[in-house]
Amino acid sequence: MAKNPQSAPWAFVVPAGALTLLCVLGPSLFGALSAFTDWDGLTTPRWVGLANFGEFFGEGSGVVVQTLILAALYVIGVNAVGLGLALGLANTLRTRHVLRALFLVPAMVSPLVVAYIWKFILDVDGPLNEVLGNAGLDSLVRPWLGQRGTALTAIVMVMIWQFSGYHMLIYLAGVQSVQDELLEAAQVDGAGAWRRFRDITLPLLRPALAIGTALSTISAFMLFDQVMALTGGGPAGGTDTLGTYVYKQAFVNGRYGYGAAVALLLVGGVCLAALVQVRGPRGRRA
Amino acid sequence: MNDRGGVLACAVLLSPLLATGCGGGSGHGDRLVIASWDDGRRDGSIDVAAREFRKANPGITVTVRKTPFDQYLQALRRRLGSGRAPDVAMTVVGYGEAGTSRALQDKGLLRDLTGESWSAGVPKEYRTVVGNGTKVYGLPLDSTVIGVVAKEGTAAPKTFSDVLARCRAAAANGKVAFAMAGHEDSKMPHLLGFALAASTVYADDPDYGEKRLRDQVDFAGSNGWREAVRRFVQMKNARCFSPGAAGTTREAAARALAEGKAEMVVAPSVTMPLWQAAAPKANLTMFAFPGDDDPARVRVPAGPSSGLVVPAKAGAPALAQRFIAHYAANRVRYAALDGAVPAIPDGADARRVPGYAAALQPYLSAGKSSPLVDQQWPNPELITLFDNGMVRILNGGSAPADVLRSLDSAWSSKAP
Repeated sequence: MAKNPQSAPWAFVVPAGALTLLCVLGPSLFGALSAFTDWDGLTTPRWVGLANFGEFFGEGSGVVVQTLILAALYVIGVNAVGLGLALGLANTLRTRHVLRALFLVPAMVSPLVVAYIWKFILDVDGPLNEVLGNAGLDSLVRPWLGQRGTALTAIVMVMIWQFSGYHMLIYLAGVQSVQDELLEAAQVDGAGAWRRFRDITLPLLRPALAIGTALSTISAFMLFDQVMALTGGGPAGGTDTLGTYVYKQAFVNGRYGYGAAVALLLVGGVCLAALVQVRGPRGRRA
Repeated sequence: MNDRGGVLACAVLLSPLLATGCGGGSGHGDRLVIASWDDGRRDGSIDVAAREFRKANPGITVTVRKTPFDQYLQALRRRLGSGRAPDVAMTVVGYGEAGTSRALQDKGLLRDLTGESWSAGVPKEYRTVVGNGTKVYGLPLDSTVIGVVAKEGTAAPKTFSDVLARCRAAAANGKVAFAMAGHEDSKMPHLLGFALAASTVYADDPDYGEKRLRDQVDFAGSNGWREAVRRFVQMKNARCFSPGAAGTTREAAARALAEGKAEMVVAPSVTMPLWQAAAPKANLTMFAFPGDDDPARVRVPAGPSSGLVVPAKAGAPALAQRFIAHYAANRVRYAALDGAVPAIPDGADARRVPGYAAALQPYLSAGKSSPLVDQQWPNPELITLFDNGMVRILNGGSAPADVLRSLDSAWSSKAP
């Protein structure tokens, strides 16, 4: 069949390469280029240079702050809870296998579905307020998704609730790789539980921490589904993130060029944050 | 396989992909493609019109391509932008959103339909909604009004002071006078803003919208707009809305009206199915929202909400124009199928509102109407900014002047 065996791989590489070019690289490049235009999705784009970026730095500070608040709370929260669960369910509890599975279940459900369920729970007339009211805690009843502070907190809590089990798995692998002999030796030397955790377990978990924080940082910066389903970015744009802002500018307001510029900045920011987190522990070890 | 064979194999493998990418366009003179939003009904007016048009024109094919309403305008923009324009498109008329008729018209994407026989019948006040005042780019389909939806028997407040009194009385009874949904997706606070502005802005200056489009006036400097937003604050302070209104969804607002927790809601007549679905056994009615203490100055926002347009790059423009002429000729019957009345009245004495909104008819007959305000707002961001401002007021965090200044700062007199 093959007169020239060296050309055979091309029959496999070219279609896959063409698909990647058409479906991934091409649109990405087109999106990156349109960040420098005033493209509205309908008419011929006009080159505007860095004007879109300038506009965002002038007007988008609120969204950046909200995204950073959400990211910081989520990254700290989900990793702390995930690590706590991993430590708690590492080996002592008899029901640990069942509990691990239970904590992992929410991570296997679509974020959109989870967010809609929580939207129902947190609704003004929803079960949470009803329970609080029936328990005589009327002072705690509030429109959870109608005020900026509680809405931001609600989004973070929903995300932590959903993904802490996933992070538990990452830390569980790390915790289980800590040799018992090390911990036992430290115990014989008189180290307490906190000291053993701080000076032995935690340093050995550094690679897992790097993965956990990098993954959660990327998720936090790309946050979209949960915000759209829970608050739609409201009240009054108070929970908009860079992800929802890009969507609204491009697809609701028809400002594809401006949306692409913000998306480009977002991608750059995510890459930078991930790079710092992944390279950080490696640098210290070196 | 030699080099030539490899290239041929690659070409064969890629051909479906290229065909998909390059295909499109609705095509030829005897094939009509109509784009419409999906309102959940199998046999809406557009389906009936397409069927009857096909029957009246043997030999042609008519395809109605539907997209869910919440994705429709984006889908229409995509199709127009990628050169796959339908022959006829249903769209929201005026400005207000990206993909509405005037936004498309500003970009030269629609055919001029001024020469069509039905275009002379478009009411004067609607000619700037489906055109630029002189040229007509779309057939307006239905007439909608913004008013108060309530259960039959609910006493209608006659003045703005009555409104505030009703709010205080309802609050004292553990209810609210007005259901309000400030959730981001609900887009309700601005409707009350429009109902207020109809009386405070347009009673004195019916041409305010056109003047704003010519940059002759602004929002922050308008006494009428300042008064409209100030009255919204008064309503909030009179406990017209539930304490959690800023986070309430439209569905929850509909439940509140159905369960009697709220007495009324300010809404456009096109949303009546939503309120009726929440209270299927109730007889709902509509009356005017009194935005002023002088009943003579009360105005009702009214206008067409949807229309049919022909994209400039339609594959079968002549057939498309014949279809629109067919729809226009049968507009009364088709509008009735949607529970609406046609935007082009069938005679001088014809009803301009559906039966449940009969109380609003005298306002329209007497010319006491205002435009649907956002239909004169070219930048789609304005509606979000106005809603956001109103929600901030509901949460006690914004001053009326800030709301209006934000509108002025985002203003553009053409669709961006």
